[in-house]
Amino acid sequence: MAELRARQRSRRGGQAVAMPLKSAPSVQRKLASGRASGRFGEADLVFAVAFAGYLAAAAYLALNQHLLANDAYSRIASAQRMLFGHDPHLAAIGFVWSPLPVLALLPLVPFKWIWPAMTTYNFAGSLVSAICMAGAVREMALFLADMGLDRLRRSAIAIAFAIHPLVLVYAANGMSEAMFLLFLLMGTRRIAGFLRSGELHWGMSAGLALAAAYLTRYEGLLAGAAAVAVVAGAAYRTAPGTTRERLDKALSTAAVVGAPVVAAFLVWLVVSWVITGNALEQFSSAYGTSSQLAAKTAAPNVPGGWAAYAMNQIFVLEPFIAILIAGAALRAWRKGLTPDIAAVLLILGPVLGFMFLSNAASTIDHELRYMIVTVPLAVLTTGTLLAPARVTGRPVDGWTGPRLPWPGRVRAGARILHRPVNGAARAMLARAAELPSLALLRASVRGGRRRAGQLAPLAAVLAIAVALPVSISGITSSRLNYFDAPQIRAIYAPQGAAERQAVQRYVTERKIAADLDAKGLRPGSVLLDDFLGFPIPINSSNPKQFVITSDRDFKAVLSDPAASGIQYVLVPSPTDLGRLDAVNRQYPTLYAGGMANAHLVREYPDLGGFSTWRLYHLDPEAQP
Amino acid sequence: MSARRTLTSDQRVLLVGATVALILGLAGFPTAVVVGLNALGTAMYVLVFIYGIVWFRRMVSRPALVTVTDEEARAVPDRRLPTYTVMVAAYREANVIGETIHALEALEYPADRLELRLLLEADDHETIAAARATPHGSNLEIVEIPSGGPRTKPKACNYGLQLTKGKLVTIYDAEDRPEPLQLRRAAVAFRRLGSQVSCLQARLHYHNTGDNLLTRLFAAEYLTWFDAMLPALAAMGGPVPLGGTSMHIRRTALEAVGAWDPHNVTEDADLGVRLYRLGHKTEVLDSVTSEEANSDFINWIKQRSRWYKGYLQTWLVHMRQPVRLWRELGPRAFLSFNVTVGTTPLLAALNPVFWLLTALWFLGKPEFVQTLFPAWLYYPALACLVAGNFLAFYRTVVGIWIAGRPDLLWVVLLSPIYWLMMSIGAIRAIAQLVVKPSHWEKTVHGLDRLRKPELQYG
Repeated sequence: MAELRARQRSRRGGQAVAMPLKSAPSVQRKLASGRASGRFGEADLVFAVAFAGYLAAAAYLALNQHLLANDAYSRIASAQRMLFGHDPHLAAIGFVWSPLPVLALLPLVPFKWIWPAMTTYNFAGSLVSAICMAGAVREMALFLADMGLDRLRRSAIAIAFAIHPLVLVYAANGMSEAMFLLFLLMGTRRIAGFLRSGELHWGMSAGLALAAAYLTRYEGLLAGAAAVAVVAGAAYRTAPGTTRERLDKALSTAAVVGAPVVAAFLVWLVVSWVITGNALEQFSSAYGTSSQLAAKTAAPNVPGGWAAYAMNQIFVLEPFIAILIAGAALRAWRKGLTPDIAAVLLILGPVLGFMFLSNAASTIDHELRYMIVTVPLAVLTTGTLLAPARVTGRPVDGWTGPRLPWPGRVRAGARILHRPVNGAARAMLARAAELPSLALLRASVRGGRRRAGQLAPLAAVLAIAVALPVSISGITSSRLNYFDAPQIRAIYAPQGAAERQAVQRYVTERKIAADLDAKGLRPGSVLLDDFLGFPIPINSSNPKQFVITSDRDFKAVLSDPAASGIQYVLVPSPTDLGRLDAVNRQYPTLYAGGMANAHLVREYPDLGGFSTWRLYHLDPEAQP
Repeated sequence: MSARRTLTSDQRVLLVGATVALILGLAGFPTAVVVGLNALGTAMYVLVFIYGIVWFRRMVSRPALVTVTDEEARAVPDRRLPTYTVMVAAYREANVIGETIHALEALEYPADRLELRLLLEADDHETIAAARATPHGSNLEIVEIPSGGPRTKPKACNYGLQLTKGKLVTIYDAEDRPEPLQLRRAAVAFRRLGSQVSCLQARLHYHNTGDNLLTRLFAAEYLTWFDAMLPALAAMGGPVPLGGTSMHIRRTALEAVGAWDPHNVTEDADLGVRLYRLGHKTEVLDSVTSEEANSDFINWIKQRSRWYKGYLQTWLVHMRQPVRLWRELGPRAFLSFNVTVGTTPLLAALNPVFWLLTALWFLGKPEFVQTLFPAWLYYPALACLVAGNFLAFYRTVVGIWIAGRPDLLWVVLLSPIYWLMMSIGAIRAIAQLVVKPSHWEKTVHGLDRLRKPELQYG
């Protein structure tokens, strides 16, 4: 049986050749996953080391420094209200942001009853981002191994990614960047594997990973589209037959990769539409990106415009990225577009390009983290430059030349494409590499460019190594990382005003929660739009006392709070994002104190740089 | 173990008892019972979905077609090839029987080791005459099947089996065009695989895919099934529901399991299960037999309900003693059998109910739908609806890619139409079983099948 199974038919070029490959599948498997079954292999070690480091960083930042990232904190709030709010339900997830980062928190939230820091200091989020970023590092190491890099080189390059300051911060602070990078790298690596081997499972898992990337951050959709375009192009270029047949093959291949992405997009669209009545809630809701941008006080003009600013952000993260990309492009042009260069440049490239354009056009905030794709793009590009011209790593297959690889195998039906590759073919390739003509060619290259050839890899690694110290200056710069820099600086220099504010983030909200908890209110007593007020329920030991935006009775309660059992109303100062607050929109004069039957209990001045809050008490029998 | 009786008396008692309990329950606690039924249905979906994921993974990651190259197939000297019996059961096929004979004669196998048998009903004079009029070699014989007993293809095959002695046996339908090297490939594969493997199912394709939308949809389903899912199922180690033609079996195994059940309308699926129960493995052979796809809507529905009825029959027959079946198959194959044979028609019939509920929910959010789905049931059901439909759809997208028929991609987008047709077929099959048992009996006897050979399962 094994023998027969092992006898696969190779129909490359229309020839049928029987090749015994008894041991090939096991070798293939070992190589393909970087570990033999049941053994703790290199990939697992990479993951374990990275995770330990990130976890330590996360514990330090969250538990010791109390540094909390705003969006991450808002996600833990979403997760909590899905489980423990006044009206727990799935739809409380919110439809402005992608769902996966919140869903990943759900299993961790219940631990808050044992250990409150799980939510109050968002250790749950930090744990998820540490796991995800460690996974991203593992994916990076595997990808570099796929490219055929030896252990020394792939370690050097993977470390340049793993300890990049921006990567390190986002591995620890619970933001969605880590999860996004994980899925993005999984997808990109698998597209490269698909292009290299033509094996179906790579294409499918790439599609699934990119669908997950979309459900993590919306720019994942772009990566998905780019991946589909790349494989469609490759299939079209290599498929035999008439234009129509090649087009069919291209579309069918595109569907294998694209179907999960399209499905993820449609499902999220429909879910969003069913629950909020708006298919594109994330874009058009009262709290969505455009409203947020419109509500913010106009950002100061930057010298040279936002395009120069965004460019500056990219270069501070990876100063040599342009040279590295140019080098890879040149190499592709001269020696052929390898699967790795195609996947890295054509999938990560457009994502960064899109973020750059959005940043330049100010359709997104100008946060440094939006440019995080710069790092894996530069690092992987370095990998492609150091990779041997002929890939001998996994998943090895017949790719030998400058063209994208599925020659001759498409006609035989895709069945061939997903078969385990056969050992004899591999041996043949290895032997082909030793052919005299090739050896001669290599020798001639060696003669003239020996020194350059040896220095180039070193230079490339140096290029991404230099990025490490340079980017520290970037992430601590108030100019280039205006939102997060004070927080990071506060770690070593907490004296400045901005730094103090960063350290005191959510202190105001914590105080409000503690005061309300002390009153021992019954469920549904406090009206709060948790768009800005989300930190308050997280820090409360009685989250049920709040009626919040996602509660299904919120609208009814908002229109008639007193009659709905509300005793207290929390309202933020109606400036900046506070203008979007539902209470301010419904009762524009409340904050200023211009409401009958509502009297100010206390004002909580803004310490953390978000908003000043006022707590009003309602006269039970009267309308505000 | 035959489908001569659909239900045993035990099963009858169980069914009647369950029905009575259901009616009493509905009268007493309607909400609880309906929610309970809903939960049962959802549990079935969840189970099938999980199994489907495992199956799908196997389908794309480890191909399991048994491949014998042309060279290998021809390399074996004639004298070392086993004797082979090829049987074709046909009824009222006077106009195509000539072509059938040509296709059989085109098989590349030494004539002195090949028994070709046309199994024709004794009173089908036209076909017999047409067959006799076609020139053919001395190893092709026409066997006249005496009337009496159920007049079905399996009965004809059983009769033919007794009159032949080939070590390997296969059957084709009259309109089949097996690839000429198929017998040699099967013989070589059998020798390589050893005595554990007793059955090889060849891949079935349609040659008239382009006829109309229905044949395209049908082809997309068939390609996915025979080129991708069936090999994976064989590799996963579960009973393989065989296709009605082009299955190659060792005579010893065939005789050991008692050959075909003449009362079962999908005797092939039943045979696959029986082979597995007695420890005979089935694999899928990389060799194509091309068939004609059903191109007529009504005929398609009839054919599909017959298949589903046969699946239900097979399921009921083997579940007569579920504990014994569990012991014989082991937990994994038991699950596999229930999912592939049992739930296939049941879920196809249930689908429209859930589609309807979903549509109602979207349109008006009626109260009773909310009652039907308490939160603990709502989320798994919703997840299953979304993920399950995606799986079914994606499986076909991948299936046609594997089969090398990218031109069918746009047809896959129309899959929901096809699923609806399958549901009609399934409901019809169950209705016939429940409402008109006599009609069922008649169908079991299979006159209808032989009269319309193009409808036969295969």
